[in-house]
Amino acid sequence: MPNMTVTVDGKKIEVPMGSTILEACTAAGSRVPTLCHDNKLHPFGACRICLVEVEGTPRKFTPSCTTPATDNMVVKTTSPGLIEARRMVLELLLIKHPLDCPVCDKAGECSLQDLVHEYGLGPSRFDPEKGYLPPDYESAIIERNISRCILCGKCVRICDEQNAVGEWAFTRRGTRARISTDFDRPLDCEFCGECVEICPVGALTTRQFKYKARSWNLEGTASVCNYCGCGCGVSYETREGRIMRVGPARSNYLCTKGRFGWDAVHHAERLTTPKMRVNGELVDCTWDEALSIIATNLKVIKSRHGAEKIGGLGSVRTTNEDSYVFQKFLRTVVETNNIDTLARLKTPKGLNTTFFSGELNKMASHEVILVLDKNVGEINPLTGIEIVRAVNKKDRKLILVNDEFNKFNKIATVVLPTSTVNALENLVKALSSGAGSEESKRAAAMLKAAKNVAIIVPAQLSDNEFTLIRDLAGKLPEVTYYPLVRRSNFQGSLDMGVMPSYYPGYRKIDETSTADFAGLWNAVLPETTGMNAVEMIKAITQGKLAALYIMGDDPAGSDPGLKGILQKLEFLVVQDIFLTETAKLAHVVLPAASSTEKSGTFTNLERRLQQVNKAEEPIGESRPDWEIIQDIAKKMGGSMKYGSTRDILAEIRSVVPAYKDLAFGACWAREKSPLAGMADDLSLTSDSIMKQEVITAERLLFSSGMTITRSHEIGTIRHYKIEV
Amino acid sequence: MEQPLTKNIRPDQEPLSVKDYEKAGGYQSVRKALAMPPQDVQNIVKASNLRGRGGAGFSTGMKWSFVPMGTDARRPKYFVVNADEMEPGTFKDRLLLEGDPHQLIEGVIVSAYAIEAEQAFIFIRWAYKLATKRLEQAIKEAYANNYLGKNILGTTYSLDLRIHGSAGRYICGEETALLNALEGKRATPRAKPPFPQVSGLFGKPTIVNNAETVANIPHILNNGPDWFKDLSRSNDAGTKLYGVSGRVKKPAIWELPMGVTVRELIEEHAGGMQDGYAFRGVIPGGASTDFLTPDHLDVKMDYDSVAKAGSRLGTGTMIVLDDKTCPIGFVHNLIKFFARESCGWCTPCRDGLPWLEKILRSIEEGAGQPGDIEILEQHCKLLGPGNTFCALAPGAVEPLQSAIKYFREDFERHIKEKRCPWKIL
Repeated sequence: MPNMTVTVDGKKIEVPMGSTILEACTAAGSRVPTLCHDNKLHPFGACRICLVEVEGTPRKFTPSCTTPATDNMVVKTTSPGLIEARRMVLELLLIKHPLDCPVCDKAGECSLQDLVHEYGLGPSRFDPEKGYLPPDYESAIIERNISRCILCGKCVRICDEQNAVGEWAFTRRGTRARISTDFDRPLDCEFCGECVEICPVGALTTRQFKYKARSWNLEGTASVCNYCGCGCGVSYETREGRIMRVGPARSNYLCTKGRFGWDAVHHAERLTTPKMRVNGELVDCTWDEALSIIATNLKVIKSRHGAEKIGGLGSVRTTNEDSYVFQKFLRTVVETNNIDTLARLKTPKGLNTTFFSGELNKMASHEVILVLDKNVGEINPLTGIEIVRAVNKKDRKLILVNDEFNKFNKIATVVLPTSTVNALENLVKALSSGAGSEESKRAAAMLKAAKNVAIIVPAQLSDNEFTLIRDLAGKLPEVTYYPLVRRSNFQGSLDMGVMPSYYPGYRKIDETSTADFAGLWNAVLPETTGMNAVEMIKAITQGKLAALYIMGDDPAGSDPGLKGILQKLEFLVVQDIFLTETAKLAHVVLPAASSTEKSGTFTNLERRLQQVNKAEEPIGESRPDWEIIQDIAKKMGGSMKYGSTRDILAEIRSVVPAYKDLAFGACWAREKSPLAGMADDLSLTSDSIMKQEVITAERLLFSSGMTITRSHEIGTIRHYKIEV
Repeated sequence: MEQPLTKNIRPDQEPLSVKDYEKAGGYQSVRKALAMPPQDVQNIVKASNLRGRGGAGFSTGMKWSFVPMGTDARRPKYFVVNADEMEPGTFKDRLLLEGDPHQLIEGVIVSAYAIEAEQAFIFIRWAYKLATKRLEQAIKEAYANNYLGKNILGTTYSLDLRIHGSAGRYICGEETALLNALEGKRATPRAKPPFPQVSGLFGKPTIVNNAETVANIPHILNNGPDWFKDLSRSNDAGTKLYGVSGRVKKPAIWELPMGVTVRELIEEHAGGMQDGYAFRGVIPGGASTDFLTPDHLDVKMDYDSVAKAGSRLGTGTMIVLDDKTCPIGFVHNLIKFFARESCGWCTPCRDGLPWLEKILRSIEEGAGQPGDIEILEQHCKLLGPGNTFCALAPGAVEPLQSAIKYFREDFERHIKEKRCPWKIL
């Protein structure tokens, strides 16, 4: 794009054509105050504080946020007249804005407070009309204090432009204008809290942070959200070592789980001490007792039945380091390859062989986005947001497959109101023969005309759907897949080899690889591949598996049918942060530290290596997973000697080629995986496990998992649909 | 003296039916226009020097010329008549809407054709029930006679025309707020650029013209631009509907050549001031214009002359201030209206106008403070163009800023005497 020259406060700079005056001022290093402007949103021009002087328009100020700059424009950002105008705007805003800063949670990070301070306003010449409307406590999570509102419209716009929800709107006019929901009813939205985040004043605040701390006393710890596979960067803001609230870091967005759901780790039901079964009851015990019992029992079972009768189910929400140590413990100390995660049952076929996710923030670089899973916004909220941003900010076309109605219908260019498999069949047909319904033909024409296409791959796929997606992609010039991944470190657990037939880095278990890893780990390794999760469950019923070590998963919670099966085990160890349904069946229960209480790394669905940093001390006697396993390994005669997660990561880097020089924040390239383009299927299927009808809540977003259901804040959202 | 706009209007009678209107020479301009390329229609209107009658006085032909034409233009294109006449003291469009609806429809067809619009709307004030009824009837007749609908008069041109009743807000008269309202959104103005000519209704090229402007179009087409220019007594072409209200003998509305003087209007047409009342000033073009005083009586009522005198022609319907009416009360009444009608979008208008209203009320009620006039003056300056989102706030303070200029001693007396001198004690 050609540039133009703009002079700001005497400084000549080049800015791209189409820049606004505000953008030119920012580029020139001249700060122009704003209240209603945000780079995420379309210009609004309501607050009138960003006025500047433009040469050639005497006796007239120009709003810099909405006015395009022109070539050779000369701009002044400050002058006595401008200061007078800005002071007047502030003075007018203060007519109604209560000066309750001492009890306002926004104090210290309030744009209005900062500007009033900067412009040095004295006593108002106007009679105040403070607190003319009482605060609104009707909604879950978010409180609305209309008296503090300056009507900048940021909440209204972010909810519409970025989220496609449109929960907030203006009502009434003139000085009685205010933000409101439909008919002032309580909020009924995604509760992402983006409106609270963007509110420049304290009009929208959260109940979670209410009166908790002054913003200037908070310390931030950059880390990663532990809910879904998006792995949004979060900042855990702590006071005296305890998290008070969570804000976004790298991702520029947080969903309700990321922003409010973290409080599950403060839940009263957190496990704080190890427990062992005595006379059929779980009772508290010491770490030493618990670890000794585990070591002894595993050794006894190993010598009595053989290592192949011991198995381990890993977690898709623990760190890479935890997963790596877990599989290494089972392989080198227990000497079994019976290692798996149950999450592979809820994974799209083809993930990490055919489907490698593109980077989320590059969603908008695709001309057409094809959404094959209507629940994208609930499973991976950030993926959903990037789709809305691409459509609303970059005018990208959206083809939506949805047999119901949700927010994406509002922004879709074409909606295919049918099942995913039907839609795929129709699209393939329309692309090859030109036959089909109007919608299919329109969608096919859009796909055909597009230079590149992003395909949102459902979180679960049938074989038929998998084949159809490949057929469809084969007819398009350039396709980027965005597979949906439910759990935070699912990718990492696969990368770390928590699978019965692959070593870390997707090395298929065979003679050569076993020899290699035996050398790397200086250990004797089992010669055969192990049982996968489905086979392990079956083996228990057949008496072929005697002991199971479960780290951070709750099979009995997700499938009550598994309860009876797990009870058949001779020995069950469960390591978790809560006393889950599975933990209640265990012989020994170990309290693990949560992701806010430990350090390490996650690898998100984009295969991005991200640092998890400890924000608070582990609760009670809980400990990071890898430390617990290392201690058991030591007691069983293993040789693990990691001093910290850094040591483990260093070993991971030496063992997994994709991680060798992988910088934090970077994604590993698909070429680095030996399985790229191969026919291997890393998903599992079962006819019996997790197949029964479960009563699910209306919104997956608020209820998909055992952690989120223990969040107090998320629990306050009334989202169950009651039908009579 | 020719009065093309009002020649068919019969006071207190039903408007002409389509047959009678045709007999009176109606719909000829449609035939004429459809026989020439749209660009030619635009050129004729541009040559006629017709300026927008809604108040801003922008050249109509020029406005049309910004619309993208030809096969590459985004479609549908829209033509919208702004008949949301809510300016206090203004009632000129109402006369045209109620008195001769076919004239407006004829203007719409020609104008829409000139910009190749396929959809037209008449955005009409909520309270204009009679006008709405008559327009609906006339539109029905026009459809029945193939002046509207598919393939008008056997040509390839088709046009659909609908009436949209405003929900009743002053801001809907602002063209971009009108478009938002027409889209079913909250009636708030939009940032310009993009201008509606390029991205208007539903993001498509759109022209919004005032009803009186549109009513002129058929006559320009029928009689040519030179005839139209000759109607006027000044540089601005055509006739204009002028109205006078206030304590004059015969408050009314007349169609007169552009450029009659204030004196002529008040003394000749309105019959002068009522007995016992003296002329103190006048706001010449609806509520949102600056005062003119006895010194300005010989100012010609056209766009440039009134502007030179420090005010605006606006809608051309004037409100007279007499010596027995308190100018502060007069202005307070207007500001009260504007404060109520602020859309609430931008800070200076939303929170500034109510404050002006409060100060004026307190002055009027005898509670004015020294320094109040200075606050009012500062406010007027800070509600000026650019400081606010749309043009309505600068318009709203025009009567106030000029009242302070011309009647400052009256403000001062209120504050000093702690009462309104016009109120009988």
